[in-house]
Amino acid sequence: MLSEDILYLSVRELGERIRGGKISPVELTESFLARSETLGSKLNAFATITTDLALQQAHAAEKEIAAGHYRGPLHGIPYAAKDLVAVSGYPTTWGARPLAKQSFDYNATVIEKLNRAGAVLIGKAAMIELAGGLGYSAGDASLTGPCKNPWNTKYWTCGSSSGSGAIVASAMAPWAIGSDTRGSIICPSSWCGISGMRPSFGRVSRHGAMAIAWTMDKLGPMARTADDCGLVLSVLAGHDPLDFNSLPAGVADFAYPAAAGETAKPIRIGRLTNVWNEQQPGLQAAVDAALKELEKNGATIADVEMPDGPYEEAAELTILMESASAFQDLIVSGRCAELIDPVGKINGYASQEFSVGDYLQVQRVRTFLQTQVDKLFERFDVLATAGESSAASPLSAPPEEDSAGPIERRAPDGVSSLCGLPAISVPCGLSKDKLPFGVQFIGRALDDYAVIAAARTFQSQTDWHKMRPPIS
Amino acid sequence: MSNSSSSNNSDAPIKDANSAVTKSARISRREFGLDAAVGAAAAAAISLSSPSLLNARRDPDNISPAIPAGEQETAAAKLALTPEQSRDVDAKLANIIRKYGERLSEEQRKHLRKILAYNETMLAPVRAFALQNGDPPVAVLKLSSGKNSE
Repeated sequence: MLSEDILYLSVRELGERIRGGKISPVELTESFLARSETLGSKLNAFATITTDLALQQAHAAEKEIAAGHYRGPLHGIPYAAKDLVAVSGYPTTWGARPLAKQSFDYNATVIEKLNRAGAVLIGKAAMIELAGGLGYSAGDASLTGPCKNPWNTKYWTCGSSSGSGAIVASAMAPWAIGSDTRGSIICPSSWCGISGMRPSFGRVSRHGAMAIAWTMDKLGPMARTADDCGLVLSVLAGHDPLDFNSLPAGVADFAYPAAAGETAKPIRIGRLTNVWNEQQPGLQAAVDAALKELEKNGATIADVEMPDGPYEEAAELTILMESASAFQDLIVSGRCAELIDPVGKINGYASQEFSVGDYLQVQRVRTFLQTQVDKLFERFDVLATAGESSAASPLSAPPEEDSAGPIERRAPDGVSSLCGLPAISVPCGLSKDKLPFGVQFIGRALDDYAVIAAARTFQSQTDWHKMRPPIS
Repeated sequence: MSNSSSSNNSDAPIKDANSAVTKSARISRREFGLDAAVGAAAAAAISLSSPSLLNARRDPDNISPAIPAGEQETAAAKLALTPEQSRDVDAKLANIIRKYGERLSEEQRKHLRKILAYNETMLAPVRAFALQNGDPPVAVLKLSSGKNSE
């Protein structure tokens, strides 16, 4: 078995060693599988471990590379896929009890792309039931039980890409596919201390992936570094005629430099000042310290506010309305009653009562928002804030403490998700409880490179992304 | 694919240049706790991005441990609906019961009423947002003038 030091290497580092013949894809896969078998169940991180497929793909990769046919930076590299992505011949449960036996006879487009890249699928990552599509109120709303945070197993990973976060953080795989409708990549990445990216809407095909809200769903990479997110995104991106909302050919593609490098021009960063209800003590200082590092590297920083308006409501309503249609079968059949969460059991009934007029009104408000938000990017390359308003919360959270503080700020996820903006969260510190903090960079629609560049520059100056959780 | 937190968590004045909407009420965290708890239910795709919401977003009928009964009333008053909104909630609940009543316990019906009430409060500022006849819906998201700097 390979050492933990090897298993915590980045995708880029592993790829270089595989290409140079210093690491065997088979040995690497066996090592990740062995770790997944032991740690996976401890953390409730996997829905399925695809051992046979992984070994078959690893042997094929090893044979090809030895014969001089190297496919690229993911060749021979193991990964996990959130269990809402169809993999032919394996269960795809969407994390939901009523769909525990579900499987598909085709691969999602992202799986096809990764097969062509020679990547090695080691398993399907656990997730919140229906990715929260019919609502949920706690981390135990999952077919596989509550996913535990590798930094402290009494704490949650956040959701809904819960397993993907735990798997990468504890080196059961160097990267994983997550999905994000409104923060489901960003929050688990922040809480698990990894680098996770939500690409621009339409850049990565969702064909073969469960839908919640067609106008907001995205698939994206969760990895050890921002650079790895860029490498993986360059493979996942591209037009797909099977996804109605896929960007056109030539626009959807994401070309990423073969070697990590610094950005040529200074990054203009807008520091968001009117987001989050309240933040955990120490978090804003960690975010500001991260921005200081970028400033030392030539970035310019200026305060900025997200536009005001009923946009959080618009995001929430869009998801409620579209998910009521996406999960109509479960609602009408009554099988939603088999879900774990008491909210998920009934929420769809209420969402079916929204009117067509209300849906259209929400989408008209959204038009204004997109225009307003896009104007911000005339002044800034990226907007920066915390990845989440705190470090991870306990799985069994105590009753909420009273607080006299007014709630006067809101999360950025609703606005940025309504506008299809790319975002990335990377670790930037630790709380007093030794749980990771994340800093988030949000970019203009289609400017995925800007968020990667900002995060990559930060990681070139700091070591927060090299932290490891105390689990083995 | 959703994480995130609930609504009614803001209350910085909401003013849009193109809108007549102004929402100025600030709510305390405690009140938000109730709103969020009620809303959790409503907030479907919404997951828990905010740990401060984790408790609040548990079963809306089980909020008493965090919020004393008297204060629940105060917070509930915040969710007070107009007579018209109340009629909408009643009608929607009646429709749900007409279609699915045999599946629903009394507790679930109460829970649904709270969800529907919360949905009405979310809809109100959206419905009030000033729009002109020609303002189109996004419907299918179109990315605006974002440049591609790859």
